Amino acid sequence: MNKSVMKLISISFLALFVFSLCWVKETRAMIPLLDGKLQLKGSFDTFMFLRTHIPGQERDFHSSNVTELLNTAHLEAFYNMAQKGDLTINIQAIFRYYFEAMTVLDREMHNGMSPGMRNRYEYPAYYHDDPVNELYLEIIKGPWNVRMGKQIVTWGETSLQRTADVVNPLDIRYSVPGIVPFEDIKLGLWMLRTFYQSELPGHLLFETIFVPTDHQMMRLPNEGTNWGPGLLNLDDPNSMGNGLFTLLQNGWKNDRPSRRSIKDYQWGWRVTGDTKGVLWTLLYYDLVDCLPVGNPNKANQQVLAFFTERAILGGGPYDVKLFDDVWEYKRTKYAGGTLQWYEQVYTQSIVRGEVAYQMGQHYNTTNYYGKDVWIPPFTYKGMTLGGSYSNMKSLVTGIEKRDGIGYGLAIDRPTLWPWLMKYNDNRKVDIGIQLFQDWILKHSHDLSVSSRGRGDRSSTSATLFLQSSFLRQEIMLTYNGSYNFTGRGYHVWDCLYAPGDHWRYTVGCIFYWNTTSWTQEKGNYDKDCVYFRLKYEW
Amino acid sequence: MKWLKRFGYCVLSLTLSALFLSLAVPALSEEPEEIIPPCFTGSELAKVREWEKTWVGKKVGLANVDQVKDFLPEFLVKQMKEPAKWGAKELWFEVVPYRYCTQSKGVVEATAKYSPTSKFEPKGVKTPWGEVAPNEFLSGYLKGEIAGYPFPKAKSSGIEMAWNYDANTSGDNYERDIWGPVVNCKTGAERRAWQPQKRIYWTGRCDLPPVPRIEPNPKGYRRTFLQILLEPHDMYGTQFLELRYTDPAKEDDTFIWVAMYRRIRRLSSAQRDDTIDGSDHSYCDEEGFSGQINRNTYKFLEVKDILACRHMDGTKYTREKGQGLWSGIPRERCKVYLVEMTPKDKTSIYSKAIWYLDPETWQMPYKESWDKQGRLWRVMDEQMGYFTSIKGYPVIDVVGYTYADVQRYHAGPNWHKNPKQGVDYPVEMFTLQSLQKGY
Repeated sequence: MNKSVMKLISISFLALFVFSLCWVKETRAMIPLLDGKLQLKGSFDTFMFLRTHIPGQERDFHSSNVTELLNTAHLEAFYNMAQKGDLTINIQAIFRYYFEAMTVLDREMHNGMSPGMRNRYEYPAYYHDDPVNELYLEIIKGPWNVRMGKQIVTWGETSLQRTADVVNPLDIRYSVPGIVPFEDIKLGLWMLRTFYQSELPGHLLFETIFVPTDHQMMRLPNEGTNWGPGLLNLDDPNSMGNGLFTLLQNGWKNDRPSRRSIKDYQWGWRVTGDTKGVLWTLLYYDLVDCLPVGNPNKANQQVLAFFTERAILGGGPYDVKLFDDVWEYKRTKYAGGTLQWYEQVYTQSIVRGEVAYQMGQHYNTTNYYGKDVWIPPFTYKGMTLGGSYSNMKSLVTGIEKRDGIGYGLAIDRPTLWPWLMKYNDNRKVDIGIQLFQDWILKHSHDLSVSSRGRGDRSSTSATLFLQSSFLRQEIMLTYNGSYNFTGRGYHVWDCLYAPGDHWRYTVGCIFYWNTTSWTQEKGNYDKDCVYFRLKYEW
Repeated sequence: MKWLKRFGYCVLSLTLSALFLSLAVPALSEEPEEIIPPCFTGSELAKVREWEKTWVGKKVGLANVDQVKDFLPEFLVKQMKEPAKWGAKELWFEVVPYRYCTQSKGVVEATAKYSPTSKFEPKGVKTPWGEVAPNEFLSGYLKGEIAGYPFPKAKSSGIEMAWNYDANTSGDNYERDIWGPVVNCKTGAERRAWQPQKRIYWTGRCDLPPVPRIEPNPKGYRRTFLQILLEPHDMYGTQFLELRYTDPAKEDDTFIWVAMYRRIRRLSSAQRDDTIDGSDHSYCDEEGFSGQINRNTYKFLEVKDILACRHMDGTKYTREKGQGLWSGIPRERCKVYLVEMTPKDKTSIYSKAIWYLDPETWQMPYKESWDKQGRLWRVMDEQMGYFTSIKGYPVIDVVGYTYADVQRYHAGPNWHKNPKQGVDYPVEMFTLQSLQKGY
């Protein structure tokens, strides 16, 4: 993003902040302007992650254990343009501008990252419209509601994992579900969204979504950052792989669909109803995947070029030439639904669930289980490479298309814990248990599935959520635990202190654990951290 | 003949006297008895007026609260004696004369029409949450066939008084902004709440046509309620929809549109007992009690003369920052019935409560609630006032209330701003679909 634009945005936020402090005599949750037609609200937020342990082989790339310092300014605006009879026209916007400071403050981290990747990481600079989280025009007339613009859509019922909530891709570079809600890490898409409220039994609400051109790839954490793969010290024999993930990410970005191409449209519909106290939805969504699959020959050539550059030509990890058309973003269709009801006879709990059938998800197959792979000959910086079989692990052998099915089930029940009552103002403890399962149909062991261990046909995980407040809800304690049946999981403890109208202080920690020695399945096994958050809401 | 003349005068005087008495006394005795009787009449009223000569217009504070302590709940006397603990330099109120609370024509007529035949269902009902015992559930309530106070002259039955309390519909349709901070009196920290709300009564309607019920009502609503949270900041945009049914076997349906998660979440009825966002009351505690009457048992304790606020004007509230309780409240002498309420639900956060019920309005000027350990925990001081609905009829409604935690010195002085009664709302506003439009 142009630096002058960044400055302008920063100054605007600062001006609004000063305005809110100096001119609004009676502080409110939103600032009404233009006779209340324009309402503004926002926050400033600093989020710091401190890793409790950085493995020795990564130490060269960190000066301290502080690995993330994200500063965010957030502005919500609502403008009522017109109100006549049953016609309402509104504009709603959420702007978010952030600056990740650690790669500036920590020179080792700074030096470990490629300049392009670092720039996109420090500021909302993937696309020029990144600071706009949402911006849409809403027209409401009678039973119709039409929204045009950049939007975030929530279609799911569960948290921590998404089964049916598939419309918006995620940006998980700065935080992860469990610490922040999905809605904070979803990427808005430019779309046309319509609702029609019918008078049919069950008060059916019909909804359609059409995303004509916008496609966003999922933003995965960068190498060397808090949540990304660690960069290894240069004397570590495996340090040759430093930069490979960055190369792949750059390749994914290079080959992503154009945001102006109508052929990569996405669309879907949803029907919502209320039958005998059960809230249900049926949905269908046809999307272009937010993560690509590799063209077997080209992906292998790219990897071979990478190691040749590093081992033979003596180049740095970011000197590797990027090949074109290595990655393909394929189309997948989802059909599913959600349910929510209050089960009052046996458990007195809220039951929520979602299910989705994935049609035609594309996967790469790999030679992980030992198969020599032919790499066609190609020219790289004047050298002819390939033209032989390679037994390097994890080379791509093909692209396969599979259907899959998954569900998420959640049970929430506030419960009185008598021994805790004298400490938590006699409040109930919110308890939530979730179970997630999914299967790949016609599974084969050489499929490469990013969200689970290699070779697993199905994935099962369970989560536990506990929350209670203390000191008149000035302090809110939350626990989130997750267990994946492959033998890994995490615990998140979070303590929020909200003493007044504006300031919010959070301290928390996340600890990962696993029972497997297989590094690829250990997940974020080395990412244990403590976090602090300071937020001012206005 | 002189004696005859005198005798004639005597007979004439007696006849005239008899004639006068026969005309005058019935005229006095025929003064129409109020269908909703006043707190005081005759000699009782005279005694009150005599007492008022000393006290009306006086400011009662720390110095003289002991002189009127017999007319105040014990907790209020204690609060006034320790203002510093409630974040105040001084807590005071003003004594005003007793005035009869005239109800709207609609409430009077509905009470006159339906109360003579009021009775309880002789059969009990088993529900998922417990049992409604025989003679606890009001006949005609289920189908909305009744309105007004069912037992306006209740004298000794706790359950009858509780049903009278439930009969208040505050002008049938209304909206207002619940506004006020929750105050940590020890630190002076305040966290403000601002919650516009709208409510429709589907049954028991007295003033705003259609009366006594809205038809069709296939789902059997008693009332529907919509609230949006504008403050505190972190809850901005969150909306509540509460659907209350006339059938005691049906739990309330409560839905919440969580702005932060952009999702509709259904609330468990168990959450009705939970404290609302840092305040000192739960969903069930709103304005005294907003749960289903049959979820508790009631026992009449005594009738008492008390100083309560029944003619409040919101502008009279005064409070310094960090002060948990209102000052400036006008209180008048009236009668209240003390009713002990015990939750049937073993998981309730309260072991019992005492309701102070005003027999002219059947509102609850005071409430005391005890925790599970049997210690006095939360107290409520509620102020009533007169409003004129936008259709022109008078409405007696809550102007504000303060819940205070007497164990932790924490309180929430509320004030109902921008009240409007008698508003015609489309019933669709109170449906899940209206919440769904939010996303």
